[in-house]
Amino acid sequence: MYKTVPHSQSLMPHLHLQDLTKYFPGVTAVQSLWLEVQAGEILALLGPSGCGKSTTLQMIAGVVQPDSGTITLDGQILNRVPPERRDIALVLQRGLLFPHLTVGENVAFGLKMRGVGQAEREEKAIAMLLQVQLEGFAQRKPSELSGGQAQRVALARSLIIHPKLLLLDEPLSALDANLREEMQDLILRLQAQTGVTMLIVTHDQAEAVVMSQRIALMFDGCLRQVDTPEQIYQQPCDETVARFMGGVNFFAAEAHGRQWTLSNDLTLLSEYDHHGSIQVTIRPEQIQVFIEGRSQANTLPATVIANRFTGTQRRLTLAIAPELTLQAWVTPTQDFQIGQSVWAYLPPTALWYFPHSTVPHPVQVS
Amino acid sequence: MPLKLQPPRHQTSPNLAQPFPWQAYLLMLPAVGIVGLLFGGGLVLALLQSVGAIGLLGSQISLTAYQAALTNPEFLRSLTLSLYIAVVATGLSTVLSVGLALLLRTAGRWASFACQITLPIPHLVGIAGVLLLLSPSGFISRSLYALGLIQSDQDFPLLVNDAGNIGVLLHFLWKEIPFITLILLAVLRSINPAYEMQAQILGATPWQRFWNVTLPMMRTGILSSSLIVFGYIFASFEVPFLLGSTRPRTLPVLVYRAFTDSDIARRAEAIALGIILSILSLLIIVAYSWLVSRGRQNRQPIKGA
Repeated sequence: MYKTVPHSQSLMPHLHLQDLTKYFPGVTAVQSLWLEVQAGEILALLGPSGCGKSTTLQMIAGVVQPDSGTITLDGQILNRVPPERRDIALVLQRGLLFPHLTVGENVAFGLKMRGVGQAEREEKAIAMLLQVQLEGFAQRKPSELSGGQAQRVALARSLIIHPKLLLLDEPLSALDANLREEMQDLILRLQAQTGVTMLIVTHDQAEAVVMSQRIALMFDGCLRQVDTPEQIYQQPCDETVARFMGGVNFFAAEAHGRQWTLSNDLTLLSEYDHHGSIQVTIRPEQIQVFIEGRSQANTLPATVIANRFTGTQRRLTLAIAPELTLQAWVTPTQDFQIGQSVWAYLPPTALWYFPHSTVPHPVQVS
Repeated sequence: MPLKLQPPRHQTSPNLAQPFPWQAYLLMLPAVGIVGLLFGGGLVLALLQSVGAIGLLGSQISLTAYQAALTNPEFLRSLTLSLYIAVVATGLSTVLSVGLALLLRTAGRWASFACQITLPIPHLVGIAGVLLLLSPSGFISRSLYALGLIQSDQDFPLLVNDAGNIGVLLHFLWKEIPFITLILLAVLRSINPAYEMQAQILGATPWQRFWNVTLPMMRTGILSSSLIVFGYIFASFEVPFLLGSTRPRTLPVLVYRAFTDSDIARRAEAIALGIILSILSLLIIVAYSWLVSRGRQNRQPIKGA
């Protein structure tokens, strides 16, 4: 992978969204959104469909005007700057290449709009096509390209103008799985070469984790958590975030410091200190399953009640107590029988909790 | 609501590579037969008359009628006038329609409806309207007189049966602008606005977006609608006959005059002129087809690419 560290760690963010709000008739698309992106950073704006992430992207690009709030890029307030003068590039789901232009003309489009001469345009477009591994495609028409090739042309068309910010709106969702990985690699390699700041909108949490250095998670027009992929996975701010990131194990407990008592009087040890009612979660791939019992804390007796093979994993459903089942995803080489008695080990470092509260969790920004 | 940024779904075209079964051609026979008989038969008859194979004055095959038609001192002037009216009226209608369509692009269905209002109105009604409005004793002239802005109808500029064919051009603009606009509105509404948005983000100013994205995407619609209009105006008879200049006359009027001439021998010349008019129209269609096929070639996928 080619994830790079932001090369400018100055205190002033490259892109700064302050209190950004957008209303559509009957809907608050984006509500009081604050976000900072450093120069050279790759940030994924992640969330389910209709959560306001694309609207946020369109406000940054300038094609949708915010009702309130400020967008600052490289120290310049963009709110009143028209899209054509923002120095921002946008890549959409299917590339959206101009059908009446050749691939080369598509790539050189931004340069032509900036008054660059034809010879220079052509030279730069060919060099850019080489970078996206489409050498010799300059004379083709967009209709002759596959989805992946079209997306690479769109990327070349955006990068050729050296934008201050590259926005990608679900850039890989129209591609099949194999091609998607190839494109992810290409995007990250080009980002490393150019150092361009990137904001990727996606609803696919796996894509966000692979592609970005930080993830901004949005629900219902609000930012819920902004963090590194690891932190969002390990320490989601609430159950909604945890579930969106693939969390499946949730159970109630009473915390007494680092000792957490479950409803059936089982006790778990945790690394986190808390008092009161909590909701406990643990990622299914972090639960370890043994046939032999061990004299180790957090090892619970369990019965295998389901066993599903997914190719790369074996997904076990374990009955711990009458009203407590957990999912454990183990390596496919470990096989278990339905009804088999096993031991489930819940590492204290892997246990995470949310206090029971009706108040929405504040946005965590790291 | 946020812009829909998804590109349009590509329509799947029927598999044209499969040949029609021969029986399918039989089904087309009734339609093709009627058209062939009426149009083709008429054309053959005209051709035979123009070369003197059949005619009121006996049969003697010669190209005298064509010679007379082409050496008629009025022919070139009439051809020039017909081309002038067709080119100016088509050009102006197209340019104004592109602008109008762009203005009405985001308007509701009422815009398309409004463009259809003039379609069913016959040209003769339009001609009557132009005469009532623009003739020296027309409504506008009388209104200006009533307002004291002109002293007599002599002060009002000649707009019908005038040398500049202003009345003819105005009539065609009135009739054809809504027609072309209607077609272009449909074309514009089928263009995904995200293309223009993409161009804008890539740095295109409004003029650059229009010139580099919107206009090329409207190209086929503009070409086809303007061809229909050009073909119609070029061969139109009643409008230049009633509203046009008395001299020179357009080709169709010249054909009519020759055909109805008291000298019955001029009928062959009239038919020869008609044939020439048809050939010219055909040449224009060929030129158009060439232009359109050039546009389509650009979209043809290369096999095995």
